[in-house]
Amino acid sequence: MIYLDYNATAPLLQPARDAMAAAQDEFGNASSAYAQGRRARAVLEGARRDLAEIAGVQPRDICFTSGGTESNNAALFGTIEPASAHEIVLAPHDHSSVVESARELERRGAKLRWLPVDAAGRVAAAAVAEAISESTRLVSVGWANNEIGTIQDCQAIAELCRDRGVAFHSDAVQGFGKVSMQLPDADLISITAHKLGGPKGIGALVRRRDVELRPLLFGGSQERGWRPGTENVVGAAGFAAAALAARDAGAWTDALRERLWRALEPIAGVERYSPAANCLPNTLLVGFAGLRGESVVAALDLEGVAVSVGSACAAGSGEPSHVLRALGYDDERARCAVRFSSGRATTADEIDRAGEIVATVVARMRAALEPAAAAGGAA
Amino acid sequence: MSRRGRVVVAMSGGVDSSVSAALLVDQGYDVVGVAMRLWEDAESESGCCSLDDFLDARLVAEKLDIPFYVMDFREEFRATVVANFVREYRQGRTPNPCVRCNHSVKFASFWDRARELGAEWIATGHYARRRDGAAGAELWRGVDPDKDQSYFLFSMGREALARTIFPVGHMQKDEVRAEAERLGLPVASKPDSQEICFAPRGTHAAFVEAQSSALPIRPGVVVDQDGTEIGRHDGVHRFTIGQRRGLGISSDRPLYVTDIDPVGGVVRVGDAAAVGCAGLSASEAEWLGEPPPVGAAVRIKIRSRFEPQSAVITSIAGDRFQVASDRLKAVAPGQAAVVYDGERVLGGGWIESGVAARLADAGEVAV
Ligand SMILES: Cc1ncc(COP(=O)(O)O)c(C=O)c1O
Repeated sequence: MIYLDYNATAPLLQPARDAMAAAQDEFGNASSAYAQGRRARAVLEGARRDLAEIAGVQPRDICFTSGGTESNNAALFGTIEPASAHEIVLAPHDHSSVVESARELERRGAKLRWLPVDAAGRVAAAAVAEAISESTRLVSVGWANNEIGTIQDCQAIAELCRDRGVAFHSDAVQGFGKVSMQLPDADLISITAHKLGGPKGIGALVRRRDVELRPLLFGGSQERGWRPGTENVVGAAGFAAAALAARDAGAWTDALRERLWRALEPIAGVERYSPAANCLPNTLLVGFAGLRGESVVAALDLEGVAVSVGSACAAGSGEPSHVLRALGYDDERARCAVRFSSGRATTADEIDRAGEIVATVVARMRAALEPAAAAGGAA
Repeated sequence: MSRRGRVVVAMSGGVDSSVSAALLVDQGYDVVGVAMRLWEDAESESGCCSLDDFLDARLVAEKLDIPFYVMDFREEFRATVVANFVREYRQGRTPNPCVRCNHSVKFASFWDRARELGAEWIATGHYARRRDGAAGAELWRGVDPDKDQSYFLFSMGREALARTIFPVGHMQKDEVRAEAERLGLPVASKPDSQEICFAPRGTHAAFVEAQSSALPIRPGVVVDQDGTEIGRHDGVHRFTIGQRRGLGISSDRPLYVTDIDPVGGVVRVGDAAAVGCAGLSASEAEWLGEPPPVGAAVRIKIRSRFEPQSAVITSIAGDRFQVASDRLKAVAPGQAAVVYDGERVLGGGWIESGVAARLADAGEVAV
């Protein structure tokens, strides 16, 4: 089994597993006044400090959530007052937890301003500058795209948003740890543990420079009242441990991505969507002309290679990738997309074997549809 | 690799396809489950292709420990089955979307996708049997007479038939349920669905109207056998030959729809005798082997709830054929006319018209 879907999620790293096992023993409610509570609180705050240090933010800026989806929802719903026709400037190819939150806000009265993106999925800072208007309350641009892998120049966007006095949110779920451990200088940043080898169900919304934010949930004073609910101490411990391990693993290189591309490039009808520069080092989005991504994914699964058509949230829906459509590709092409995403544990040998299997499977799929080779034509 | 080769099973989440998958696993096939996403209706949570059905299919696949995928066929389904359904009703005909789906989607696109996955076989939970005869694969009725679905398969094509397994075709429905129970499949007691998946019973007219925004539906008149107007209606798509209910006309004797003229928007009604037919003519004929010769004594089935009746082939020309039979009533254009030799499906076609009793008597019928 060759796992090449790290952008969907990553296996739990041993240090995260150990940290969680230890944290399990601190059963106390982190908000309780007695010793057990204090010990749990100590684990939680230790995790927050570690994470803050790794990410280059202040501990008080970190608010733990249930993951990237909640953080994205919280960022948008917390800053936008739909009834007052607040405007959000955003990128159409960002993750559905951003895009669909925005659409829901639009249904409630907010205005959306969609940023233009080029064929590589890049958003120009100048386009953001142009899009911002009087009523803009929030700019949201993801740091790195989960499907195509394109990395945005969030630093430039952050600076211009600050100049214009508009809050800037960045979904850094895919970028955190792969682009850098240092988060971009946005006001609101979404991160999640499981893409880094931490547990599922814990993430954070990083809030810098006290942007005004209404909570999503009510009923408790946890996380400074901003995210009520008994704290997920075990998850936080696993998150911090995974982030530490990711930092210790050092910087990524593009080597495996390009090695895989060299193996796929000779396949007839293959098309590469992921750019060669400013792209997540582990992500390669391609298409095989005439073959639906969902069929390629199934055929590869049957041969022991795990990849996806793009976002796991869209898997099985058959919907053409909203990312490729936003980049100007037609439905037909968007339906062919297949995403390969490697992880720290992926070896060059796995990449080579995956490349061979893909070539074999694609050739077999093509042959199966040749009228002459067909065991029986369609009725 | 398994001894028997790979089979892709169309899994709907229902008991028949679930048991089919289980039987194939038992028989030593390399089984892959695929749920076909055909249609989506934002409002409905039930009916086919609902999330619940896919979850059921997934549960079964998990229980059987087989790979399972949901695949999208919505485009093909809309372009062929749904488009045909709307067009036919608007032309005053009565479509059969399940037969069209088998023809254009299940034993076409689905079979293509299965081959992409390296399948040698496909399987469905239809109550029908394939028998390998001297001259190739033959399609036979399922052994459970109440459940037989061979009617829906007449146009599946010989090549697809040769590669199709119907694991429950030799079983009674009770046996299938018992088998599901025995295997502990989570769908053992799920009710049968007899509905058209995208337009549940009683909603077809509304469906056709909703899909007709580009070309609005026109109201028309209801006339008696002499052509006298006796009522009005909201569109010919609401009527089927032989229909008795919902005519909106009060009469002291039962009235049935006997003719529908979509161009003039005229629906003609008459008494029971007026819906009798002496035969029918069909087009788009497809035969699963050699077509039967003219003069052959066959049985013909003209809608899904109808016992095959004896008939004689009176002509075959190109993709059209005609049969004579004195046992046909309410022959509805647009429905499938399936020709049987005993229990075996020879082929069939799509009904163009019934042959009126008087004309047939007078020998005035030509194809
Ligand atoms: C870019 C991006 N944002 C948000 C999410 C959602 O994060 P989570 O799974 O933690 O809710 C994902 C992936 O799941 C993602 O790739």
